[in-house]
Amino acid sequence: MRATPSPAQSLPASDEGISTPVPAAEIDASCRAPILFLLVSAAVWVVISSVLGMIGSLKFHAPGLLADSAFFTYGRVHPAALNALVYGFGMQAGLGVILWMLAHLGRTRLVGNVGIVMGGILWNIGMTAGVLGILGGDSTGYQLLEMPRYATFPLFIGYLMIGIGALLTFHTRRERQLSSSQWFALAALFWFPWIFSTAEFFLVGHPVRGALQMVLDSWYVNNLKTVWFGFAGLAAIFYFIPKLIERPLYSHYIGLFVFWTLALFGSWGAIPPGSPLPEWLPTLSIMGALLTIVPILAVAINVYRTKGDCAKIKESRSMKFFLFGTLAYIISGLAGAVMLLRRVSVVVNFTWFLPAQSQLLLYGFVAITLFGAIYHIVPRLLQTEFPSKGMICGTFFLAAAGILLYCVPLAIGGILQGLGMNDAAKPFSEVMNSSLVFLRISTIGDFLMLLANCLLLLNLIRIHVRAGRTVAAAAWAAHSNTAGVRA
Amino acid sequence: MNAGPFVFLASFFALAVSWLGFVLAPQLQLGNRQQVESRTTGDVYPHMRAGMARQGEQVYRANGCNACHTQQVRYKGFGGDYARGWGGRDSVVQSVDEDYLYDRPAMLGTIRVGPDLANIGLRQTNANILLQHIYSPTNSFPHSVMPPYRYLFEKGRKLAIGQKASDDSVAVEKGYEIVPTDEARALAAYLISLRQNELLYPETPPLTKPTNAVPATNAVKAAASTNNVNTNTPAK
Amino acid sequence: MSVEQQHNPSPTMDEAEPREGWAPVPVLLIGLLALLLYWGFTRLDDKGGGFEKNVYPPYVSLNQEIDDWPVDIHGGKIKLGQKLFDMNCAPCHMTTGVGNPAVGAPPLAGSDWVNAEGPNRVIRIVLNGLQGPIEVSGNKYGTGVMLPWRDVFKDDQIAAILSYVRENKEWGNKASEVMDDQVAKIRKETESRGKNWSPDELLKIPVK
Repeated sequence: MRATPSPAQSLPASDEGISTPVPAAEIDASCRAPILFLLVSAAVWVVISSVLGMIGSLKFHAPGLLADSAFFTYGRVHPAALNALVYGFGMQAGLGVILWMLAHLGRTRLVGNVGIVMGGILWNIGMTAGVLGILGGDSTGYQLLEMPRYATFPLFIGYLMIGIGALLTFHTRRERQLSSSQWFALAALFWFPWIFSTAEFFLVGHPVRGALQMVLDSWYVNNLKTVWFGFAGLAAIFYFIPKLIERPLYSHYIGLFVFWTLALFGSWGAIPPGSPLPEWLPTLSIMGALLTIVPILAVAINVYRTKGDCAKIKESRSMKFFLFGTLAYIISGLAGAVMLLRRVSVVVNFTWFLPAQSQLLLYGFVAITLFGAIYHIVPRLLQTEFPSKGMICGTFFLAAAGILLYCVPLAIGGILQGLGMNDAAKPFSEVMNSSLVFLRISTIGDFLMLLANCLLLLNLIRIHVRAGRTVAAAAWAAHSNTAGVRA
Repeated sequence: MNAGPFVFLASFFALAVSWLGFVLAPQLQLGNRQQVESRTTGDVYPHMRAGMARQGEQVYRANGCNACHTQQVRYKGFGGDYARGWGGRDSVVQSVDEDYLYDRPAMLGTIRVGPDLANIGLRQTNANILLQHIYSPTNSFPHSVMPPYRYLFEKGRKLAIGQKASDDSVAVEKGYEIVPTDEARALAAYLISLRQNELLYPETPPLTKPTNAVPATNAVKAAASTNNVNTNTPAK
Repeated sequence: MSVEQQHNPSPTMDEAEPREGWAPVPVLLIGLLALLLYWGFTRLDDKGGGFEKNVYPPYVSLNQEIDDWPVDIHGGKIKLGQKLFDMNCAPCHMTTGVGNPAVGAPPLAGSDWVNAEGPNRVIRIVLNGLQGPIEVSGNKYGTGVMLPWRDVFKDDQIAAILSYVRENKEWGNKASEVMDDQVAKIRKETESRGKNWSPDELLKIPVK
């Protein structure tokens, strides 16, 4: 195995200023306001999402719960929870982490701070309008695009503003060598406007005909989950794991290989067989889904070879998040690839297996990875440590236990439900009853995830309070010193 | 190979391939679907929903019914859809693209917490029974997890002792009859309009062949010749 | 505790950015990619339905779907009968079957001769022609001569035309279909006749 040393990270250029790498602390100082805004907003939204999700989950045990209120009927509260998780938390935190990584990898200060903060504000306005709109009955009816037009428009503008800031930051980079994380981050930034505007235009704006709507929706959801979130999460994983254990990522080339295969094959339609569409669409989708096994294995190899038997793993608190995230990525990705095969799809399609796989990807992989990134980034931005290390570990264990208690029962329940549904002799009510016990366990998982999210938000509040106190105390000390008053 | 623009080009290329294959190509092929002739009725298919059914579609959408119900049936033999009586078409092929031609939005659903509704209009044509189920699902299915949609109903008139409730009431509570609101009525009309039972040429060859038909093997040759002089022994 | 001690300096002042190694992509991964691509394309060939827009599972090709449609024999026959009638018989009897008194062609619509229980008489008329005043549904028609069609049409064509006429609901006819073998039998029986029929001769022949 040849080991060509990579270009050193700080190459003093012949001309000062433009190419001199900026020290990490200065980069962090420049990032502070916009990225903190994005990350803290994201944390608020993940709590909102799990509260709404909890309400939905409880309705399976007490269908009469809040039944008199149209706002909290399951058909509204569930899409609202998913949209809050995906757009409120996932994309906002993802963008925040991407911005931070681009700044650091480029050894440059963050550019376009005002635009980013304004973009974030627009994003949150759009999210609020969107979630309230869904609860109010304005849902569009399309999976993961339920937020009505008046919400998605500010969302889109906000994204563009944040994206421009990210591109400017990238453009002014001092470190010219691109790492695979930067490939992923840039591709993700580019991906979303195209898929989102296409989906919004052809579904909400000027709807296409018939089952073509399903094609477009499925294409969008697959691109969002597999490609956008895949890129955002993998960018974080390929950045933080090597950084925390202070070893290089095993292979830049594998990183690029993952980029190409995920971009080329993970972006297909994911249309399940048996759909009311001409046969070629599901067949192509199955092919694309199976081909995504390749990047998943590549990620596994890259991460495994990077970490090796490193003892340093134990030292870092955030490492657990990233390792768990990687594992969740691999399992959910493989499940998603296999799910479309005809023999599997006939059983698991339309069952609880689908949300199990989806949540493993969105929460187990994306959320937990971003939690780890948040726990790493925020202290550096505030130049303060988290007051309680235990709460960080607590977040991890609650989140991990929560997602496991959510996914595993639902996956098993889904398979049993599918087998039951295909057995026409079994009455439908019997099939549904037999899956209730799995739903009950998954509600516990929902609750644990809610606790984990609340812990994250609490942690963030506490560190801000601490940082605020520190700043106030330092200002007081400076004031007292200059005023000559004895302390 | 590290320049920023190259990343952009690579992403553009990859997404363009996917877009061409899954957005443009299907649009070119299916985007112009029109009504087709139904081989069952001779009329056009599908029909645009009228009046209450159309409003009901929006009620269905606004309340997120597709969070638990699907409206697509898989082909016979692929899963238990047909065997459970969720299909309505006399064909091995079940739901097809044209079935959703006038659906805005097409709410095909992704998960079956409740049964499939693609052909509910064939299974249940009584609006009152449907509304009773929507008002209180546990009355029809004791262990159902479907929430009771009480907010779609309102209090009607107070019933005197011995007075019968009106035909469209769904329940009697505390002496008042419970009647559906316009939204609920529209929803019921929409559900009754849900059916996919007409044969379309060529996508849905019928399963029951008429008795005076020849076996399918001669079909292509027979259809090709216009002076169709066939042996005409009545096939019995 | 002083303010300085309370403030925890960030431990990250001089953290290094992560580096990346340069190991090559494992050949097995590339091999797997090639294998999956090959598998995918063969499946696309088998089960892609030829990218046709009307191929739905479980059918794998458009021809397979078309083949599975039953041919409507009866409808085809009626359509053929209509075509032949319009080309050959309508000049005298009109496409609406009302007949043309000017040329002496009696109506076929609602005609009691057409609607007889059996087709024996009308088959003979078509095969060998008809002459002579004829009473149709209470009306007399005097002067027309109908030419024989024996050598013009084959048995199944005559059967198609007569079925079209007899079953024509729009004309008010409610009679039964005419089969090829019925025509063939009568053709054989009248092989040596050589001249056309008169209504009186026909009325002596039973309809069935």
